[in-house]
Amino acid sequence: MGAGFERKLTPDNTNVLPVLPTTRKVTSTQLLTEVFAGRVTSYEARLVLASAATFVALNTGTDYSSAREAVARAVREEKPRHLLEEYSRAVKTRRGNKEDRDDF
Amino acid sequence: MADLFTKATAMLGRNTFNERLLRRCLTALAGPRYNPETAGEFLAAQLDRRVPGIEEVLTALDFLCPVKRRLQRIIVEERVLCTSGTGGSTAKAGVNVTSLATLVAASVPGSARYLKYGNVGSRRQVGSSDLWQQLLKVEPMQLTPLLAKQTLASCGFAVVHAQTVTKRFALVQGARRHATGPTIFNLAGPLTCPFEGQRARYAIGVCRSDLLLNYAGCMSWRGMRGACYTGRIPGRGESDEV
Repeated sequence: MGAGFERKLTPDNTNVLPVLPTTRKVTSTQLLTEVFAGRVTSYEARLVLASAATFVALNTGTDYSSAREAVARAVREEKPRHLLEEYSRAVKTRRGNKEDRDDF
Repeated sequence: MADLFTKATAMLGRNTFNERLLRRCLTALAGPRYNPETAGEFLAAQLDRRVPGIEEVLTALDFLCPVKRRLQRIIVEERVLCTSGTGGSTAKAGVNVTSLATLVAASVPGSARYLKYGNVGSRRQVGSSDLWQQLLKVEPMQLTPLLAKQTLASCGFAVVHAQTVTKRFALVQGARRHATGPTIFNLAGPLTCPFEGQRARYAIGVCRSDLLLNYAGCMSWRGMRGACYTGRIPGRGESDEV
């Protein structure tokens, strides 16, 4: 690890998560552009991928490094962009239904 | 009513604040003529250099979701990770990491289902609902739990706007805008998530590490299995298992 980087242990001491220093501020839209293009360079975009890997590890019970690889593969294959398009279509189709608009 | 908030704020400084007074103040929030500025100051003072007790957070939850409404639950059978956060971190003023991370996690093949539960931001912060409004070009109020249940089945991913679960968020929105920091409603907000199930798990980001222990207690009381976490970096950090 280079200067300014450090490592943190998770509570079960099995996964080593990198803690990165803040470099600059970006907006959510800029972040999304980076992630969608598969060119993750900013600190915040790497943070998104690290957080996503943590969520995958939590949800599937796999270890962090496998989850990190799976996330990197999904980003390379532009799967987040496809999912957002699919979800956007699903929301726009469904929102016309009256029963969906009823207050919960 | 403004006097009640002023008195409560002064009592907070002397550590003589109690749950009964909080309940009175929250009731005053629902009144027709409360002053959002004074109420915002009071709400921010509650969390400033002070850790609210579990009962206080649950009182705020009770204000947002009275018992009759809280009984309405959406049961999910499949494995779902519900992500949410208290907001209030000054470091993430322009970016919402958890929302994008949830989208990326949901795009991983075979990684089960993900639900993002959030609200519009107060002050300068970008709330989850603000971001999805921009990305999906829909009004946040259209992102309902019922729509989420359907899209969870078809896409494996869903977003829920907290104000579709309880309209009482709107009552405190004015006060939140005037608050100088996170308020007790930041803590109570993620606890209003209506999704439940044997295989449902929660990952909730908390804005300050000293709040973690009590917040884990609140999650436990609410029957939420999962983790709350915080860190020096915005959006994620070391996990604290509940």
